[in-house]
Amino acid sequence: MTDIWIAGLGLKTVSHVTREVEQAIRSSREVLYLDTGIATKSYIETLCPRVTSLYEESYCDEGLRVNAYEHMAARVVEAALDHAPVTFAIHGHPLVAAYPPFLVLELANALDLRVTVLPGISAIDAILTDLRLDPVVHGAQMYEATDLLLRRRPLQPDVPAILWQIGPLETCLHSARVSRPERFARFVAHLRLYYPARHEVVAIYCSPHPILPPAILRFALEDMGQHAEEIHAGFTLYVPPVGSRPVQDYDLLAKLYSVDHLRSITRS
Amino acid sequence: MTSMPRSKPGIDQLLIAVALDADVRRRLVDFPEEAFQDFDLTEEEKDLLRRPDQRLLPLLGAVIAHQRASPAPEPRAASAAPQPHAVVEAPTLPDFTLVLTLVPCAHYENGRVHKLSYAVWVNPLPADADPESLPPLPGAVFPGQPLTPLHAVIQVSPLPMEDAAGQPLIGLSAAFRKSSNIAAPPPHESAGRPTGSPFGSDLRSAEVQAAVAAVRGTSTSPATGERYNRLIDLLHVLRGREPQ
Repeated sequence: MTDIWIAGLGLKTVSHVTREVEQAIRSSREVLYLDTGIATKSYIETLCPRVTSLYEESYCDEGLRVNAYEHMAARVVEAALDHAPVTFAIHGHPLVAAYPPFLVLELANALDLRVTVLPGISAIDAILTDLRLDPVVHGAQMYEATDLLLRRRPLQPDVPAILWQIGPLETCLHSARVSRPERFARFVAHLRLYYPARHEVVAIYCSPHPILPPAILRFALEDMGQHAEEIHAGFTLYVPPVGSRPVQDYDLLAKLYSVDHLRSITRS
Repeated sequence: MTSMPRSKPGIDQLLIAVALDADVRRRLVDFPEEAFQDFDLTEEEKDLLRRPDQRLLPLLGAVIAHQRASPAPEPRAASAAPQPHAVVEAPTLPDFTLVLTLVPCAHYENGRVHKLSYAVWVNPLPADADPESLPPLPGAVFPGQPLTPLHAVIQVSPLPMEDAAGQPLIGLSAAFRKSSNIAAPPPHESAGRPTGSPFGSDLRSAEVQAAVAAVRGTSTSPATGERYNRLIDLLHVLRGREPQ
């Protein structure tokens, strides 16, 4: 039994919704959703009679994003206490770059409510497909852009980097305003500690609609400010590696195709 | 300016239909002119739909804005030229490892640490050597009582490469092998434990118990907003107030 489903809607709403998410929505008495896709409400209304959009009632310009997150969590748990089961449906993957589901989990844990989390297609999935990347080949490092600056996290330049939320850089306040070039100065300066000035990076905004292609901006790292007006809140930065790290353990390399070695590390 | 009444649905309805219905989407892609017949579209809109690109985003935004036309409720509260240290003549330079040793030195006053000073130096580290086993710097005079030394180990790898013209180029890659003496558990939210509190809150504390009881004791009517307010209070007790 589940009191609250926390479900990911994927990036393109209807075409990304999984069967298990659809089933959760069908079995809910209310769906509270956070997704600005144009067909989200129309779609959910075909599955559940009571549908509530949380976006409009949660965010206000220049307001603290955390207030919006707390509001969403309280509304979801309030609904579950009143008429469970309910679904909290979120754009993308519910636990990728999304704080409200963790607040729901926290409240539910304190109140003995049963929660099931269902994954959705996230921006990481779309970035990998749109840029034709396999994160297993050269590895991957990823950080939230503002957190990268706050903690002055070191980067490994030979490992592909995915830096989230470059649009809302350097603020915890909600805003739909266009960025100035200066917004990216500190960010570029930090990346310049690890990458050449003319290193080509990619800003990507994954498509939110089936007929819309992804927005992909390629520019030299030091030119990022020139794209300030284009880089909105939905953009992520992909930083390709500078070269690749050569093999260093030749002993292990020699063993990779050795049957004897395989037998020495496995049971018969 | 007034707009003419439309006899057919406009581009907003087409965009919604395309998102909802795979058949409509396929028809728009394969036979756009045919799909256009069911909708009232300008030539500019048709051109955009034939070759969709980022110009579509404002249209999507307009549709969403139209959908939100009804006013939303307000959010609730809630000196000499320096010389190299070493010159290595070799066709390929092997990796070399450096250890930076930092020794905190305590100054005592009335039996208590009054202030700390630090002594720092860098040595090459032999292969497979433990930095902890290195002897103290010969002749070093510490500016206080030395405490346990701390070590950062840096491996430097010269990488033979070629530049764009195919000329030999030596790159350099450095990696930290040990950069901290801190041993601590991971943050609760990164521990990978799906049961229990995601933030490690103490549910047994009297404050949390009282806040939980307050939620349970409120009316079930969402109209009063009382339970909502108690839930926000409980969140603040569980998480502490976020920085404002």
